[in-house]
Amino acid sequence: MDEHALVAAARRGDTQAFNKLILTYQTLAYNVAYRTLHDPEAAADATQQAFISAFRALPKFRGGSFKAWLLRIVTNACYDQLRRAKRRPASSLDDMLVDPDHSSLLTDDTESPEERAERQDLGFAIQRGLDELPPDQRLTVVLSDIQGFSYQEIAEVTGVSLGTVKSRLSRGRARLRDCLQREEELLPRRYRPIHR
Amino acid sequence: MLDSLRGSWTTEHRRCQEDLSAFLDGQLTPRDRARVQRHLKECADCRADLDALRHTVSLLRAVPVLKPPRSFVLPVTEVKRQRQARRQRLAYVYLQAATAVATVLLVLVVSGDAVLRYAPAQPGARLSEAPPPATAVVLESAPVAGDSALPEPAPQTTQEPPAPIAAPTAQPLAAEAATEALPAPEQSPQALALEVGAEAADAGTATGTEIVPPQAEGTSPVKAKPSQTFVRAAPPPVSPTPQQESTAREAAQTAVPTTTPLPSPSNTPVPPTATPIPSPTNTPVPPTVEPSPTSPVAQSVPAADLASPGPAPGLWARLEGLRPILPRVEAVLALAVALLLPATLWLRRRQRRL
Repeated sequence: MDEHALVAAARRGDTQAFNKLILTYQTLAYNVAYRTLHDPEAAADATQQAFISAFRALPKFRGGSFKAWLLRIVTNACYDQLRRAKRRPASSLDDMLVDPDHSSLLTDDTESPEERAERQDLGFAIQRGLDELPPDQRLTVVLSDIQGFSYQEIAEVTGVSLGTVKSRLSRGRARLRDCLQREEELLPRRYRPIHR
Repeated sequence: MLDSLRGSWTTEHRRCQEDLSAFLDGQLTPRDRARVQRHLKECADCRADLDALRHTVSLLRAVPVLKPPRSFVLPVTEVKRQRQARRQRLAYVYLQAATAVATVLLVLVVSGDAVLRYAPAQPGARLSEAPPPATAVVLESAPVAGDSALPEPAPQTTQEPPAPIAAPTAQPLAAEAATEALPAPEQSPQALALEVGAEAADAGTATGTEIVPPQAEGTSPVKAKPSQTFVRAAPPPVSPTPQQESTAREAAQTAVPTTTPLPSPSNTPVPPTATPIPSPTNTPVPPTVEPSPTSPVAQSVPAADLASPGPAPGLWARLEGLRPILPRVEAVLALAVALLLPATLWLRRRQRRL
């Protein structure tokens, strides 16, 4: 069944069909949530909440890109989590230092254990840089450069104009670049030549 | 000169910095793209920034994909839960509607009951008052009579009021006056009076026809001036009702008290404005309408007209018949409201929680 048929079936209340869609998108959704929230628990909660909301809101889905529609719900759930975290900023710093998700990378068989470890470190370093960005810029950078979304898709997901996407991305990348230059020692040696 | 050159270069530099990201993605217009390329040739800083930016983006692309800590597949119970929620929403809507309907009905019944209870004589009055219209009409005709130069003017009109006592006769009076020979007792006299009155209105002087009411089963045949009837022809058309008289009599028996006040209007000799107005505008209002107990005259006129339409008395009688069960209906409705209202509120609270 292609995505269109699955969406149609899910709209009629077919949970099996919707669960197939979830299986297709849960990794993407979770990664976006994690990179935005930098908290595995909060990211999982946001993802689960987003899927439940999406299933509920499915009758309102008016066609177009299902992926963009779904990601919009995911990002809204992330903003909710951020708001909640702001109210009780307890353990986010600890999470950042422990970063338990470094052990849960999707495995790639062609990668050596060293390469894998280095990529984990890279992820950690990048995440620190992302954490310093305002949420809007962070989300735009995550969608564009980590998830490979086009400007148009990002505009759909975030509900802003192409111009806004462009400027958010420009500022976010520039800040991230400056941050990585400042803390270059955090980058694995392989990824280091970021000198001017 | 140098300053302005430097200024434009700074502007160019800043614009280039802003455009580097889009330049990298090939998202610039050809013109902007050419401008950035031109500046990059001159500016080492921008070249370095572009390289660093490119590297940053490549690092971001190399960020490992994380495995979700668990599957987010929805349990089937979720669907059940949602269906239940939907059903609950529907139930809430229905409950709300039911509560509203029950409340409105309760208010209607209670107020209707109150009307029936506090104006119990009204229906009877209406029916028994069938004659009074004659008096009322006579009253209103009084001034007109004077105008139309009747042979027998005011004095007679004042004599008429007694007519109410002879309930059935008063009406026929009018009819006869207008129509001379319409023996059909079923036909409503008023209607006839109306017809004839309409025609003869111009020939208002056509007086002098003394008529003996053919359907005057009652008592004293009264002589009426045609002109008077013409005047009263104004009242709305009336449908003939055979049972009307009988019901009128019955009602008269049951509701005697109201008949007595009637003479009082006649005592006030010339209320031409007060009485005539109601009669023309008076569309046969169903008996459920609250009778205004204020002016007996105003009441009597419409009442007479009301009494004539067939269904009215029957409907009223039926409503009257309902009276004994009204308390029970009220109790049931009150119980329904008492049960529905908390249920609705409870469901609403539950829905908010969902």
